[in-house]
Amino acid sequence: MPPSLAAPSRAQRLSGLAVLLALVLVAAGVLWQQASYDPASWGWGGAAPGGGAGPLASLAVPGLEPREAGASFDPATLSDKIDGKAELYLAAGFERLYTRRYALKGQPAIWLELMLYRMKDQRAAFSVFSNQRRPGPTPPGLGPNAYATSNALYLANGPWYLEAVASAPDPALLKGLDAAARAIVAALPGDKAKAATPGEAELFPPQGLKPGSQVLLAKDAFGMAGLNQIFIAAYPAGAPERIAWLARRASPEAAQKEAEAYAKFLAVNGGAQAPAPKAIPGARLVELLGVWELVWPQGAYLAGVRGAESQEATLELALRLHQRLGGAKP
Amino acid sequence: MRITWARRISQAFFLALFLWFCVVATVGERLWQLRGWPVNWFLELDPLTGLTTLLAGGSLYAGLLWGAATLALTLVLGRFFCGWLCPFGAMHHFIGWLGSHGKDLKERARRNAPHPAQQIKYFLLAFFLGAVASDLAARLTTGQGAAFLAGAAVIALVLAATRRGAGRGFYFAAVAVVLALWVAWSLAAPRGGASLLAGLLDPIPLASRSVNLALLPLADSPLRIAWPEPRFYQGAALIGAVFLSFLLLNLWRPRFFCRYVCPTGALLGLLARFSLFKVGKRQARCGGCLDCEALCEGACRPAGKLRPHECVLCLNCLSDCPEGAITYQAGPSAAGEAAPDLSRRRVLAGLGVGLAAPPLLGLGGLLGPDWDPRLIRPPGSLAEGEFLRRCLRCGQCMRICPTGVLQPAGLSFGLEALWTPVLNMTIGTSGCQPRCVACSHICPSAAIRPISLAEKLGQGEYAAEGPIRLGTAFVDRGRCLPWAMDRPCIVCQENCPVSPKAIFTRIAFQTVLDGLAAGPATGGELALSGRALRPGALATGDYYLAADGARARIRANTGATVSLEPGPGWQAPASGSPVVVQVRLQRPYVDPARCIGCGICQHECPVSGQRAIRVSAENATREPSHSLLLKGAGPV
Amino acid sequence: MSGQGKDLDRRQFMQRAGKAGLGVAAIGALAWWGHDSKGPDASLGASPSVKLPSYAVAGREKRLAIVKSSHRVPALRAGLEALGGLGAFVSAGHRVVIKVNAAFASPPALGATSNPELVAELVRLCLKAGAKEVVVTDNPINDPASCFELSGIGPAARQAGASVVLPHPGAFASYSLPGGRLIANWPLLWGPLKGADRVIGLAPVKDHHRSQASVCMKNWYGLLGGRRNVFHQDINGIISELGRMITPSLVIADGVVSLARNGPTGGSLEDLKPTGTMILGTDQVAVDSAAVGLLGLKPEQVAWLGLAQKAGVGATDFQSLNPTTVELG
Repeated sequence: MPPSLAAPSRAQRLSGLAVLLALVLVAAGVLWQQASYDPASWGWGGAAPGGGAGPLASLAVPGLEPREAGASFDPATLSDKIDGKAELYLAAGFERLYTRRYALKGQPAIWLELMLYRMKDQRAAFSVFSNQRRPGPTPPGLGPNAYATSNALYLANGPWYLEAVASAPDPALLKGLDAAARAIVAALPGDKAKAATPGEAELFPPQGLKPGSQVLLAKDAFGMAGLNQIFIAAYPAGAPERIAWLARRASPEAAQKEAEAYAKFLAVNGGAQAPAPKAIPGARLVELLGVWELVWPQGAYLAGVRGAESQEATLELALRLHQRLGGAKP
Repeated sequence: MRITWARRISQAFFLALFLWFCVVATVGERLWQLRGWPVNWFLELDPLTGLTTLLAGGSLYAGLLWGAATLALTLVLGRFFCGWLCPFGAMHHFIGWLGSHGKDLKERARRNAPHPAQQIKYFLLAFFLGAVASDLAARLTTGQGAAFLAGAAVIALVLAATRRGAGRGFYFAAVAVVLALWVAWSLAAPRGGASLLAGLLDPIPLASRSVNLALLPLADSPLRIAWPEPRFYQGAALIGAVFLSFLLLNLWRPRFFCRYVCPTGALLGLLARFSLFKVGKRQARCGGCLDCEALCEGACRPAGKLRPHECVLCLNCLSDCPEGAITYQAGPSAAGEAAPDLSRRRVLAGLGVGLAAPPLLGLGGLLGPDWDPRLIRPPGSLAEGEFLRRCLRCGQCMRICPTGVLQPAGLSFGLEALWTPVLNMTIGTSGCQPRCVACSHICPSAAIRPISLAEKLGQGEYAAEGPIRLGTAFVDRGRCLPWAMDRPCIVCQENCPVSPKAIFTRIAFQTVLDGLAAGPATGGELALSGRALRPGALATGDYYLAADGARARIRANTGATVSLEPGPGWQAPASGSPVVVQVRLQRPYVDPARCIGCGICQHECPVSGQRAIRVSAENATREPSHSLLLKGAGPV
Repeated sequence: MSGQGKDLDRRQFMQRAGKAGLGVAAIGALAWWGHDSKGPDASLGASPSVKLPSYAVAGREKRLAIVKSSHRVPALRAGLEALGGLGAFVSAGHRVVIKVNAAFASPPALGATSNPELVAELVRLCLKAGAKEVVVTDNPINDPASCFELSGIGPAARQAGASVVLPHPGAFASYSLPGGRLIANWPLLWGPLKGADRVIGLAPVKDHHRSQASVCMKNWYGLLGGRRNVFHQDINGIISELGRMITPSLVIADGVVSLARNGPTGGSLEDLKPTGTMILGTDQVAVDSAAVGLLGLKPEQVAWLGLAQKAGVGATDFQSLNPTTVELG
């Protein structure tokens, strides 16, 4: 700049300062604006209103506050949430999982998570419920398929399966678990009859039956590919534990064919066929690695007893099951 | 402090702010992500974006109101926007300053002398306003709003104001005749659409597009701040070339773009003539040293009769005049002022060409019979005609898109769609994410209207309408692996994010090896004769041995035997009986009632060049006339 | 010829000749440097993919220590001592990656994830051994931030001085296991592994619905990205390939309390079983073989252990490694 320039006038200096002040105000405005924002207005991430957590989205639990908006998972994304456990649900017939966490008011570190599975039908829900059953008392009023453990509560109701898991066995949290489960059961559509166990599970002979041991194996039961939808029940009297099992098929022919296929499967895996008892028509008796397997078709039913070390114990339970099935209307 | 230093600080501040807004336009809540940063502020401050979308689209959307503030302040201060605020102007200013380095006073004064080419920007402004005027006419004639009459009056006045004295009456008459003509003509002519062309040269959309789609992807590729992965933009070279050309032309003439091209500058210049404060001389005569002319950014002749419509308020003249002869004052310059020397015929020609442009573009049929099914617009986009009346081509939606599926349309989509957003399912990291509506919220002109997640997904109160569909996926059976090549593949079905899935499969067993005969069976193994097998090739679980209408899955194979997993009804074939190997295929089908056109299937398709499943714009929600389905029709 | 009217003198000539010579030499060097007589081969332009080195420490192969204890931190210290001290594995300036199991956003008490106190102690010991940087990482697909926070691993690791690296799209690179059947052109969580000198696996002993057991080899599953759940169809195959993919410096199976059923998620405290054992070693097949015993399984009952042994990853007969057994009570 040429040295001959006059010093800037007072007006020029003041105007310059005024401009700088304006810039400071603009910067402050921009900073204020960026800090005061509502992420929901941009609409990414978080759950859609009434969408993400499905039936849990509007669930209020007394004493607890939601920790998040919740999420949901479909068959393709289920393993993102529960990894290898997903296969159990997918095999049984999984449709959707809704999850949401709640925490004690003002204590976000003490929380519980609700995982509500929508299964294909009541059988599918019973299958995943029974396969994971842990020892624990059944709380009253939640139907027969419910139990509580020291930090969690599980129940199956109609096509729904609920897992409510507390991060710690905190008494206030456990009260919340119970309240949440009751609120969910009350809100689920459908009548109370749906809470009952599928019919086949009631067909096992009651004497000697281990309570709550009925399990529905959805797929590939006993390691045999294609042996699906098998109910099992445990009879612990006498060691080792005996397992009675049964399934209902579309037709007597189908049951017959599958009984043969299972006997063949046992044979392929090293089983030795033994003369079958006459009392049960069409039965096949196989000895495999020191334990006995009996399988027979009975009308549309396919039934069996496995796990006993003696023929007598196998036959004793099989006869009782045969008798029960004889009186059952397929 | 010299006022010119205040100006430099202001320019640097706003340029930095503009670049910062480009950087932070990323989905996320960290400090350098979107949060609440007003990333559209510069686009909104630009009065031409507001004015043209108002005329073309019929409303001044949300923040575009800021443009009115710019116009108002221009009437008080003059073109402060150009000299103090405009980030594109700051870039030109800086490069022009570099180009003037080392040149002597005389040469610099020559380069900064007024030039007839400075008229061009007014003609361009006339062209862009003419183009949107046909929409205005349509609105007026359909009685949609008296507000637009006011808009037309503003244009007429602004144009008339460029003339003084006797010429003015004639000008009013000419404008009135033209207005009447185009009202009548627009009614008869087909609706052109694509009338909002101003965004091509409007400085803020131009700079925004160039930085977002060309500069930032280059700068960010090693840094990965703006995007987690390097970003690609189709045709970014052309966008970058236009940008760089305008920057480099400053070396030839300082502020080349501002002086000759900028339509926003022209609009502000027309107002600046009437501004309260102007730069002027204290006395008519001065020493004539030409210091001021050598430093003049606007080429507005501060030493003589000043042209206030060209003055960008750089205030170099005021600051550096050795006599202190130049001032910024409310009164007129003591040396007198020059009015814009605009050729009436040229302005009318610009306006006329502008008026003719949309109908001419409309003849191409893009909005009619020859609509382009590749034009898959972002979710929430208005119907194509309305979309083109609002899209500024600023690139904000493509910048914020988390997957980069939003791309600038190239010339192959037609002139009218140039640089508007279109989904390209192969270039980004995925298709359109079902749980994202970021583009609809960042769009400064509501060409993509703001939608909620519930609306996009068709949940809650939108359950009846269903999700927003961008188009429909079509399976190309000539390229699809299970359809054309007997190879199992269900990638598209697996990746479909819609629940229940919009892609379903039907199982087909296709014979791939025949001329085989069964041999003896030992254990689970069956010997085969007739032709040799490739050991292990059938062990993927997709191959079956078929005989007598029943099948058994092949578990493993050697050159001459297969190990089988029997299926229902399977009987080991008699030795010597013919058997075939079949592959179990799950062939994909698309349910058009469920498909939302997100393009995730297309992105994931393993046929990596031209995909075997591709989305096109049929059945998009925004164009009911392109629907594939009659409502309520169909088997379910 | 001589337009100057004056002949070059010898000195000028030498100068000009020297300059010309330099120019010729420069052109020649450039041409030689850029020359390629064969032309490009087919690999030119192929997509880049990463290669994983072996992270094993030379001279420390086939070490195994089994610690009986009901407390994790003392068990870890004793176990490392039995292997010759962590200093035998981690030296000054090393960049150590600890691959934890943070697959679920589940509280530490439920045992579905690596124990945070154990992670913190291992981090501290690595830093004490001179490590320049300790990185704790995993790829839980759903909501990684919550998984690291709620499992307690994130806060504990950071407090101990580690940097916790969450997966992000830029952290993945395409990887193919040499000779692999399943892991081919698959996204690998490469970001944290890049430049690592040592890789330590730290996994809880868990029942697994699909693979019977999940210990150290299954833990590498968290280094895969993409739609990795397709691998559940061949769970035994993928676990044995994971064992081939990573040759770790050291693996630690935490069976002080095991998730004995309803794995890999668990959920109820009733799913846990105090098994009082921590197994540390450099042969991951041996470590996992010893660990599945805590779940009541024999190594030959677990298909993936057999596959891994067959692939040469290690030995299922862990007793053959003469493990050092420490009883802490």
